[in-house]
Amino acid sequence: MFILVIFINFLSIFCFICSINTIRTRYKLNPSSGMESVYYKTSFTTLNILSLGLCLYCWNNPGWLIWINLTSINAMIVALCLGFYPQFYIKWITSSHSLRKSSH
Amino acid sequence: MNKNLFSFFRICHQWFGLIGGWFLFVLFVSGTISIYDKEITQWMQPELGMYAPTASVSSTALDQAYDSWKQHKQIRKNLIALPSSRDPFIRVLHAQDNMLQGNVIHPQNGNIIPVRATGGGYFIDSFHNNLFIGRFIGGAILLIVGIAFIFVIISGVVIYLPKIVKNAFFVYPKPHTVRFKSDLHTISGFFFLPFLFVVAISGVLFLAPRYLPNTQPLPNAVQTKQHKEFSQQSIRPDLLTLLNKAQIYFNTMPGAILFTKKEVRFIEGDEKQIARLKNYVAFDKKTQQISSFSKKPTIITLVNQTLLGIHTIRSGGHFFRVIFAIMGIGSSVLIACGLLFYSNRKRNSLISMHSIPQRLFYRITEGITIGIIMGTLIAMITFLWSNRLLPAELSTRINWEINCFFISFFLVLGVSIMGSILEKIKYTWLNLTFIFSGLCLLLPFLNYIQTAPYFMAAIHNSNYLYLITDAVIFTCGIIFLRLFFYIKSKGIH
Repeated sequence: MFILVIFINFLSIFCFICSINTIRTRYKLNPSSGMESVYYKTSFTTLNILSLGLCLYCWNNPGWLIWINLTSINAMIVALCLGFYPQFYIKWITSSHSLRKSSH
Repeated sequence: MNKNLFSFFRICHQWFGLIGGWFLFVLFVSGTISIYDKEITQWMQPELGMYAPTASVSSTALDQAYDSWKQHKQIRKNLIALPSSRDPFIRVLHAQDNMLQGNVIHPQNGNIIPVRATGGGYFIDSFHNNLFIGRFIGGAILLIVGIAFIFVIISGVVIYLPKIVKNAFFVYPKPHTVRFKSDLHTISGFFFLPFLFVVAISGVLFLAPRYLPNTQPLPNAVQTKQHKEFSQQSIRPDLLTLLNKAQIYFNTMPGAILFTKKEVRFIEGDEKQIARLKNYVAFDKKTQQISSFSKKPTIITLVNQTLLGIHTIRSGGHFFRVIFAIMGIGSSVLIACGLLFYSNRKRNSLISMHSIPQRLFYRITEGITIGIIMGTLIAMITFLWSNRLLPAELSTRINWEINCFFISFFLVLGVSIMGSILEKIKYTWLNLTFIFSGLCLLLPFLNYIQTAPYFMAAIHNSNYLYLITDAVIFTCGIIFLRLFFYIKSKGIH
């Protein structure tokens, strides 16, 4: 169960950074469109609340504390990954852009 | 913000952070390790691996524990710690030489287990609580450090917040640069802010009551009197019956037993709830009926106890402890990065400095920083090595273990200061990381050579504590070996 919680929380942080335009500007990527930003922000909120819910469900008393600290750790990991391996983020953004363009 | 105020906060963050940082690094490392104090104590008593963990406690074992407790009842702080999921043995503990010590009793057959004397997790706990220099003086130093830490966090937030919002999630990907250390310091401070605040405030809350005026009668005087009267009576209570009653009262196994003149007091185990409630139920020794119990805490007390409970991290299971250990390691890295960032910046500006005392001052500062970081780590691993190398029958082996810890710490500190004064920074780093890495990598092998029968018996009993501890130590060694090769190839800037 804890692997699932870590994964969902990690994914939520990734959705969060995808919605931030300052990071896109740094890597000279297209700024997010209005709908795209809404998708990412909604995903971030949903996944993060889901991870909070799972934390509260699995770890009765300090579930909220686990969630806060887990989010901090995952945010740190995402920041380090983004610094050292930005290609994964760039690849995701560019591929998701091309997907949307082709669907239009 | 006012420019002068901003500059004031920056100077405070720099200087409080530097001097406080030396202490804080030691505190965070020892605090992180002491999350696993019970496991470390067991690792340092490998003889316990021979015994399979059992959940139940027998009457013989409790009687033996009581007889054992009587030998040290004149000491102010003494108790019988009951078996728990983390430490499945009865421990009869008393405070001596700034830490808890005592016998280990098998919870089923009641025999005193012949384990080697060790400081174990109790020493690391004591080092974290009062730097092992006494409850009053050590506590006072740590209280000042704790208050300074709160101020450092606030000043850090004030000076970095405008920048961090824009630069969050950005780390300059060149670890040898000053910029990388600055980025790592800033973002880890930003992400770990809730943890740091809670730890700082709860740490201060732990220590502050010691120095506040107390209107209640001194427990010391009362207990001494109680013990005198108690020693005259000296009737062995039926502990198993009382334990069963306490178990029904708490709906779980109590954590410890304390004795007073008229009462046998059972303290609730602290693994169930996050707040450090210290609930108890006391039984009259003559009638064996409940004579007193803890009252329901007020909201303010509950908040206080919750903060203290978060600091001590006794509940929440393995996953919570792992999360907190990662946060502790992250916070240690945050402090180390801050200290190294300061040192590197000052070293770069030394080129333009002509004043010899000023140059010497900054070199010594950098030497202390290296000494504190590597000294703490090397001292911890030396402590574990000394546990395996000192003869088990040595009467003063606890003292020798602790001496080894402090000798290695001050030795590394001295070498680092000398290395820094002689401008051999890279050489010092290389040697110290290599020594630490080597000690970590070789310890599991030494452990196996020295304690193979216990080690194998523990695995046979499905007790993987020794194996996991060795694996963690070995992983630390690999990480620092990688760091050694990195410093060798890139150098220290």
